[in-house]
Order: sequence, then C-alpha cells, then structure tokens
Amino acid sequence: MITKTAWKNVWRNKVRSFVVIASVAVGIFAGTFSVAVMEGAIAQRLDDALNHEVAHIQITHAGFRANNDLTCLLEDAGEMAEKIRSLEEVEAVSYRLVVTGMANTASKSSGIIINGIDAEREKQVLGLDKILKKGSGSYLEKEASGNRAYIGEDLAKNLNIIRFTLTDAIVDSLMAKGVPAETAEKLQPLAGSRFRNEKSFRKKMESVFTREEQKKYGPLISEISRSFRKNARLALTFVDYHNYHTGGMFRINGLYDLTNNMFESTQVFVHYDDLARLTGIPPGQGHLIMVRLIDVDQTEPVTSQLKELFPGTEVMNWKQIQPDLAMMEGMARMMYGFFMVIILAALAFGIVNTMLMVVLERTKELGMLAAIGMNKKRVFRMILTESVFLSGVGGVFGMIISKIVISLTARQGINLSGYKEGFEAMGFTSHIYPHIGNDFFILVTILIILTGILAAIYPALKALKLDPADALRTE
Amino acid sequence: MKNRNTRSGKTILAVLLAQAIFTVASGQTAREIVQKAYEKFTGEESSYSTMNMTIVRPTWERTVTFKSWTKGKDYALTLITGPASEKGQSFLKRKNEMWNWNPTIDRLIKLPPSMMSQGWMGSDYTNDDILRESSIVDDYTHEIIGEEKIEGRDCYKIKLTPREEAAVVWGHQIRWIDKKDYLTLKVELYDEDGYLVRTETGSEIKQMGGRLLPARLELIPADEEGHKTIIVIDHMEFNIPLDDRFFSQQNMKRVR
Repeated sequence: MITKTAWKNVWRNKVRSFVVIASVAVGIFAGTFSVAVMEGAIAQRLDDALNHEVAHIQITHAGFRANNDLTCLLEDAGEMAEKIRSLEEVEAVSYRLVVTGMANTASKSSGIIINGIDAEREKQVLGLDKILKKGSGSYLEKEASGNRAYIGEDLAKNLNIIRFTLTDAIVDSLMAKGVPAETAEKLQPLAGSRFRNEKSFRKKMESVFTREEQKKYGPLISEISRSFRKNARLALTFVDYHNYHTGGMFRINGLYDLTNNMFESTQVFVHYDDLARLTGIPPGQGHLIMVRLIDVDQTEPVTSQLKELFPGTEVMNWKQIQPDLAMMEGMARMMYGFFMVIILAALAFGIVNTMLMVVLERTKELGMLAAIGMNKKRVFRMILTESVFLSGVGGVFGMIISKIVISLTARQGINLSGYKEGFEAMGFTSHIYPHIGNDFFILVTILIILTGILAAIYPALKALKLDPADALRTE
Repeated sequence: MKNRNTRSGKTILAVLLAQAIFTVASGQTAREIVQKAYEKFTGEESSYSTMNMTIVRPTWERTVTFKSWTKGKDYALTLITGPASEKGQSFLKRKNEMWNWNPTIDRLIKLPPSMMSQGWMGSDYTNDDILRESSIVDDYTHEIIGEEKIEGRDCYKIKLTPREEAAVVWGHQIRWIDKKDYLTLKVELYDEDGYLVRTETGSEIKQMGGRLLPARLELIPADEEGHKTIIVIDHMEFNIPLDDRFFSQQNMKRVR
C-alpha cells in the first residue's frame, strides 16, 4: 500500500524525478566505468608482472639481493630446481645467471642486467617467447651460431638499434598510403638521411611540416620510416667470477615488447651457456631460481614450504619482490569503494533537495493524510521509499549503461597511445581493456539503497514535524 | 668448335686464377700495411711521453696536460699534471683492468664496467677506447680500396671490416695510411648502417724519440656539432728502461 503510493508519488512530477534519476544514473556510470578502467589497467599490470617479469616465487643466495655480487651463487641451483619441480603446486621452474653490465653499440651505451637463461625452461616459467615483437626476429630458441641476445624494444631504442630512415622508396610508399603528394614531396630533400632517435626525427619533421600535416601524417610517417637493424652487434661488458673485466660480442636475435619501460630497457636475455662461459661460472650454478605455480593463490603456503626446504637461502614471492603490486591489488578494492561513496555522497545532496521540495510542496496533502489517521511511521516510510525509488531507478539505469559500455569497450580496448610514454614509464599499458567483477555491482547496489535512505531522513523528519491542523490550512 | 670451347674455357680459368692471386696478394699487403702502421706506435718495448689534450665543446674548452708511461700492450700509467684542480690524479692500466687514484679525496678506485663508456677526463675518448683497443690487425679483414693524398702525402685507403665474432662495435672503418712511412693519417669509423660515427686524424708529422710520428691527433664525433678532442704530443721517448713493478698501485700514488 505505502510502496504503491510512493511509486505513484515519484511520477507525479515527471521532469523533476527524471532529472534526479538521470543524475544518479550518470554518476553511477561515471564511477563504475572509471573503476573498470583502473581495474583493467591494474589487472594487465599484474598479469604482465607475474607472467613475464617476476614469476611467483624467486630463490636467491642470502646475500645476492643486498650485495648484487656475482659470487653470491646458488651452487646447486640445478638440483634445487629439480626438487622444486617435484612439488605438486608447481607448474614450472628455471634457474638463471644474473650479471650487471653495460651494453654498447657504435654510438650508444646503456647499463643493463644480463640474464643467462635456459631458453626452453624459461618459456614455461615466464612465457618470454610470447612477448616477441612481431617482425623483429625470434626468441632465443633457435640455435644460431655465436652469442645471441634477446632485448627489449626500449633498450633497442636507447642503443639506436631502432632508427628512422627516409629513402625514396619510403617516400613513394607514403603516397601510396594516402599522404598527399605535396606533403610527401617535402620529404624528398631528406631522402637518404637517418635519424638515430625519435626525438631528432620528430624535430626534423616539425621543421619541415606544418602543424596540420604533422598531426595528420606524423605518426604514419614515423611508423613507416622506423626500422630495426636485424642481427645488430651488441658488445656486452661485465666483470667475471674473479672480478676481472670481461665481455663478449652478441648479436640480437629478437626484440620483446612489454608495457613496463623499466624492465624493457634494462633486462637482456642471453643463453645460459654463453654467459656461464664468459663469466667462468661452472654449469649447474645460478643466481636466481624462478618458480611458477599452477595457482597464484598458493603463493604464501608454497613460499613458506620452500623456506623450510632451503634454509640459508632467500625465498621471496612476488608480493615481497614487488610490494607495489601487492599493495595495488589489496588497496584497489578499498579505493573503488571510497570512490563510489564520494560520488554517491554528492548525489545524495541532490536527492535531499528534491525530497525537501516534495515535502514542502505537499504540506497540505501530508496534513490531510495525518488528519484522516495515517500515523507518523507510515508517513516516514512513504517518504523513505520514495527516495529509495528515485536513487534505485537511477542506479539500475546507471549500472545497465556501465555494463553495456564496459563490455563494448572491453572488446576493442581503449587505446590511449597518445599518452603511451607516460603510461609505460609507470609500467602500465596504454591500451586498456576495462574489466569489472560482478561483486562490484552488488556493492554499488547496497550503496545506492543506503544513499536513498540517508538522503530521505532529513526531509522525512521535516514532514513529521508538521502540525496537521496548520498543514491543512496552508494554501 | 670443340677446340674453341676449350680455349675460351682456358682463358676464363686463367682470368679467374689471376684474379685469385691478385686478391690474395693485395689482401696480404693490406694486412701488412695495417700491421706496419699499428707497430709505429706500439712496436717498441716501452715509451714515455708528455702530452696535452684539449677538449673542445660548443661553449667552452679546456686543456689537460699529462705524462704517460707504457710498456708493451698491457701496461700503462698516466699522471695528470694540469690543470691544478686535477693535478696528481693518475690512471693505471694493467691488461684489462683500469684504476684511478684521486689524491684530493685520497681514494683509489677500480673502474667498473659502468664507467667504461664514459669519456676519459671528459674528452671524446672513452675509457673503453683506451683500455680495450681491439686489434686492428687480427679482428678485421683488410682491403685496399684506393689511394689518396692526405696533407700532401700519398696514402693507401684501406677498408677494415670486422670479423664475425670480433668484439668490435663498428660496422667498418676506413684508414688512410701513408705509403712511405706507414703513418696513420686519418681514420673514419662507421656504424653498422654505414653512417660515419667518428673521424680521427693525425697531423704535424715530426721526428720524436727517433721516429717519425704525427704529433697532433684529433677526434671528431660525427653527430655532435662543435665537439672535438685534440691531443698534442710534446715529447716522446722510446725504449726507456721500465720495470713491471713501475705499473703498480703503490707507484700510482708516488709517481711524479
């Protein structure tokens, strides 16, 4: 009876109710969608970190992380890996050598971390073959002659292995791709020139083109003229087991592409055997054992199990190695809740305003209801229900729109490549696939109902304070 | 018909053979030329020299003077004698290792790999250039590609291409070596794309320590406008008696 009256009341002033419902819907959509984008980005970061960067658990010599010393070796790394492999929670295990050093090309040099890996095993642990940049060669698996290296795209840029060249053929192909002849002709005098990095290339382009042209064709031109020198020479220098300078000539087998700039520009992968030979470390030894579990949720128990199994070593799981990730995962939920509460609090004031109007407008009517015997409890409930209807209908609409928009954008992802550099510097992808769990919608529903109730209390109290005799006489 | 066929076959064979012999011969001489030029500077037992190095940058330049002792390929000791702020610093090279003694902070450090690509004393020569001079004789294949005059001297123009496994970052280099005295008058270093990275020249050929040598060496990086390093050799002696013990960490602090 009360519910029915409240529902009818909502639609007595359609425009006003619609405005409130719409504002709630928009608010909920904005909040939910932003949360979905954040959640998507975080999920991708976690996925990258666990599957391609740190794995789930790492074991090192007790002094390795603190001293970063080449001689802090796990002497029986091979046997340890074998032992860990036999645990039922474990999916794959690998061990590697980790040496800090320098990478040099004819024009540039850069500080790096060289990982000597077992190419086959590392595929199962970190899926390094899956992050190969298309058209850049191959992962380390192929037994090519000589020392081979697998480096990040960012490092290749820093070392000028990726560079920008303009040739007549490239200018011609631009025209074929729809660049107007007069724009392409501006490049003609530059044919045959090469730019070592994106910055100098962009600078030159800016001096040649108008801003319009730059904006319209700049990305296409830089995409076409950028190329990678296959099999480029890379001189790696580092110290060996006895602290003598050593090094070797490596050829680049392929490039990998991750969203994490820091990782990409420092981590170089080479064959275990090559690095062991150059550093003089006997086979079977390693600096780092990487463990991948079948189920990530088993991380904590397996970590303590491994600690017991190998006393004197340092066993760390991904939450300890990258506390920022663990924090992100844990805090994200709470942050989303706060975010929604803030949005709904702002909306609540709108609802309070509307309900106050409702009460003041219906002073006479409320007086009448009281006069014919409707008790205060019922009046209170009626106003409360009306307010919950307003926020609830808005909330349902908002959630439906969010769900539709999220599933639409999740298919293609949101491409923010314009801000790629900034995102990747923080380790995030610029191509975000929004994602949200159903439990979030339950949380939002509860919050919406609460908002409706809280927003109605003040107007309802105001209604209760009316004296029926006075109220009846108002016009 | 048959006869003619065999004859033309013979001709081709002869041409091929001649070509092969010529290639081998010129290959050998190119290598020999480079070898002789290389020995010009390093061929003797030991050396002592005083030099000054001018570092030219677009907005400033400065000069560092130093003394240098070397023995064979493996040992070298360098003492900075000016400017006053850097005076007394010394560098020791023993085989593949390099140390730096800095008296103002009373510290002796061994240069880590991360410092190898930095310029020595702020110049365009990197520590790596000084330490790990790869062998221009053994690490490359050599080919005479022409003859040119440099500073009025007839030179062989020789192209050096690094061997597959050699620890060389260059794509190739071109050296101009004087025909008469085997002096290296100009070197151009190219990257793997075939673009010039750096030019080194030798000029002001003088008699020093009983040998004819270029006294002025210049290094010009191709990509950085206004950058240049000039080394001028003031004085040079060869085959002075030097003990291996001279090249020690203790002596780095004592040497004057």
